Amino acid sequence: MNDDEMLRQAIQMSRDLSRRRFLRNAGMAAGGLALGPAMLAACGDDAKTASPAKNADSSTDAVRKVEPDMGTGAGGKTLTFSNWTAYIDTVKDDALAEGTTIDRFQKETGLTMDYKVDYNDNEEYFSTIFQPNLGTGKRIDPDVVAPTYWMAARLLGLGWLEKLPMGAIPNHKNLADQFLNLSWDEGAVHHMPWQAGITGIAYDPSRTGFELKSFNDLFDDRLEGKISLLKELRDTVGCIMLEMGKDPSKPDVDGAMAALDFIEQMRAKDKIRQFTGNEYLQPLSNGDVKACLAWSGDIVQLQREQPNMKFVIPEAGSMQWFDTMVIPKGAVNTNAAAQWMNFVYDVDNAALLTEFVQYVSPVKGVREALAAKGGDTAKLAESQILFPDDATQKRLKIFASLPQADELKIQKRFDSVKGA
Amino acid sequence: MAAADDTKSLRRARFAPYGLLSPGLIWLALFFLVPLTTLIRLSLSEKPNAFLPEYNFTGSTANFTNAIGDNTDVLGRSFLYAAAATVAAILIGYPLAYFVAFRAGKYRTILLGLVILPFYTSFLIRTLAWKSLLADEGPVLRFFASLKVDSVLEAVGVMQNGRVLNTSLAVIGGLTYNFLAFMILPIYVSLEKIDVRLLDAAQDLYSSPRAAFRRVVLPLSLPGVFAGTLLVFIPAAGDFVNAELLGGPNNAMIGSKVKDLLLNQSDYPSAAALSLVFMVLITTGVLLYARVLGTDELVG
Repeated sequence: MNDDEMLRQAIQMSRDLSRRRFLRNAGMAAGGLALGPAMLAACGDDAKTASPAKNADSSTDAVRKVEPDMGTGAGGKTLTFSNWTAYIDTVKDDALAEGTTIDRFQKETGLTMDYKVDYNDNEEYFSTIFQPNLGTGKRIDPDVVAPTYWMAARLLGLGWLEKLPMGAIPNHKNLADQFLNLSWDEGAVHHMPWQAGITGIAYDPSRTGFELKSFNDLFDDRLEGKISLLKELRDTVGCIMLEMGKDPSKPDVDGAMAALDFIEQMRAKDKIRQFTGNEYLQPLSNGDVKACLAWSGDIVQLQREQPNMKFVIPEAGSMQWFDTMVIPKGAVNTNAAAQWMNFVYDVDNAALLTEFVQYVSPVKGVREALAAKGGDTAKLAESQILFPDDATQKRLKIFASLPQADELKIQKRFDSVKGA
Repeated sequence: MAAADDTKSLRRARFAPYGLLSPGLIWLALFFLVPLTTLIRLSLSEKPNAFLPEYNFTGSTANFTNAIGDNTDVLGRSFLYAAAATVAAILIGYPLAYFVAFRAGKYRTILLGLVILPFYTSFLIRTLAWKSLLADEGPVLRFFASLKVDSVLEAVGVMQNGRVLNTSLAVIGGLTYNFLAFMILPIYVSLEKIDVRLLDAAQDLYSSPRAAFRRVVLPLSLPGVFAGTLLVFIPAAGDFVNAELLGGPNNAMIGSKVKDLLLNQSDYPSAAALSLVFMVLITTGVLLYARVLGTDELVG
């Protein structure tokens, strides 16, 4: 393992980052080597502030209606966006450099964006930012935040999200259809997806010695103690539910519990070596783990170094996830937030993001836009992982939004099943 | 006149220690007593809605019964691993400290420096390095394979299912490695204080070297062993990095459980109760240990 890899893992561990934005981020922590976990975690909080003057921000908490359905402009010209790390295009690691999405947005709208990469972990952000503030009626700084879909659903359920000012987001029409009929936000009027991805099986056939076609194959005797599952409840439980013929996109507590029983049996038999966030990349690369549940974006990256690596979406179906853009309750500048959403839902702008971050774009027409660019970029348009065909798309499920009591019940059981 | 002065200075002398203590006392009050009180209060509270930041103090001990009931195995495992790591650290650390104190001569400083040297690298990086070293196709297992001792190691439990990584042994090994210096240094200090003429005296009184060690050196170094044990056992029992990085799903320790309760389940009262149970158990253990070892100078 080289130093970069170790550093990456160290930072990741220190934040307990259980998601997948990690891979591209080696540069971020330079200098963090000798520091403790807390210090490393603090690196991520470094806001890339575009405007030195945050004058407008503190002026007032009052929310003034400008026009019906156009959002409020009381916050003036500054827009704050809290996002996951390595999740936007940069030039030389600078998200604000000339020609980047943020730069073009600022020039086009005359707004200033305060872009923060302090969204490290859904639960952590919920416990430390959302709950103590929004839960007591206070507002939080960001106008746009990027929780994963289930966290967005939780926030909406708690009444902590603003309705999107749809009048200011004409490009909402470009939102891909599968995001429009989610039970927790019909018509996507409280959130817009930022980027999406797929959970599937990653393996190298030369190591496993056979083709894996279903999640059940992970528990084949030949792979005993050589597989890993994900610490993300909805991915691991959802995949096993699909294998059992249950539909994770419908609320089904018994189904989830049955899947968890199965996983616990497998754990007891020492079939499962680990539950991981995206630190599965190292064991998957060095052969400690021969096959695992993995996130599409990571494997696209890994395939560049290890072309043998395969990413399989089983016939029984697999899980899709996405991170959202939402406006927290009481946000100062909902109109600017809407303008940002509109900007990144422009097909060409969205294509540029996809080209850089290589996740599944929730914007219709991105594939065609990439194909039209020609060269290497056009090859991306051919990728089955970035642009699953209709048949594949039909097999992808998004985990259902559950009533709070059920969600906690399943989480508690999952925490005990995954051991650590 | 002289008498009055004496009383005055006596009185001053009586209060001086408290004055000198005050920074420490204030520190303790602010960063130990206040958080501890909050923790106790929280552990006796209920959170009616896990997602809302509201707590009702009920005085109910249900959180404690649940904390113990749900986590008996993890609590037991944490103490077992920590105890194993402590014993291993004594077995490795004592001879090493002995050598440095009595036999190293002019290399003493260098050797001590080497003991501390790993601390210049972050704890996480060192643990991650073990992940690479112990990997299935890594150097350690390749060495075992070349000696063709796999089946023997498997039989004695060093290897499990063809691996070392993600087993209890890897976790205990990681704990031992990471906390070893905290065992070596206090033992070294207590050994170094021993007057070597005592050993000469023992010899003059016809003691064998073994008896001299057992009756002179060992008793005099016990305070060091005691301090080292505390410094290794307590953080090792609460550590979760080694278990998360080097362990598997069957090797979880208490730190991970507390974290899951806090972050995944937003169940602060249960997390507080579990932490307190852990604190009480460890304090009781330490007091018992002190009583058995009878190290008056350390526990007053």
